[in-house]
Amino acid sequence: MVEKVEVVEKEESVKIKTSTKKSLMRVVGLLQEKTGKRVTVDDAVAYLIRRFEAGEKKPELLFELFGVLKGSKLSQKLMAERTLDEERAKRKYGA
Amino acid sequence: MRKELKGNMVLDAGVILNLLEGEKEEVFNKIVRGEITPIISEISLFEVFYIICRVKGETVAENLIRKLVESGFYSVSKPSWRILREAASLKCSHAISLADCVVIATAKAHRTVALFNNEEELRKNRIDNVILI
Repeated sequence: MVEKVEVVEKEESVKIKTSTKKSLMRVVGLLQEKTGKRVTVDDAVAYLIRRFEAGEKKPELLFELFGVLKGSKLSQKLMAERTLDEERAKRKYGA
Repeated sequence: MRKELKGNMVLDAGVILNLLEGEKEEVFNKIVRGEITPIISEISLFEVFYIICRVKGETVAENLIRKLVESGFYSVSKPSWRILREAASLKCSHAISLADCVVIATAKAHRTVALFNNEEELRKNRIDNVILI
């Protein structure tokens, strides 16, 4: 019978500033506190990468903005301003 | 046939203003669901700001732009010289506004499409990476 072999990913070293390491260790501490489990530096870096990739999305702000200026005819005003800018440019540069 | 509204898209100021007015619900829903990843050029933010400022004042404009960016759904693109150079070339050959040219050039730099309101100048000019809604 063939035993299941666990593949251990190779570990590598990276150089970081002392102040960055201090901040990173703070994240390790906070994560340990939050999860109640042992957290490695690798876990903390992976956590920070996941958060960066997911981004901090706030859909409530999108919903708040949708229709907040209802009836203001803003896009018509924009078109009118762009036309005026074009006319000003023609008067100024003749092109 | 209209190109499908999905993926990365550079939104023109007119579309952003429409969303603030409660229009273009299809675009809004797709942004919320993550089907559209909107990109805004800083030039468009400039336009959105001054139009709101004229109608509602500077504080409202500042507040709404901050919320838009803080929502985390929009990527804000700074117009680099490469983008401005492309925009200038478009402006040279087409009768469209400066801001429209920057939005189209930004879309080109991001290898994606630009989403505009159905404007006459853009309809006439028929530019490849432009979707009119």
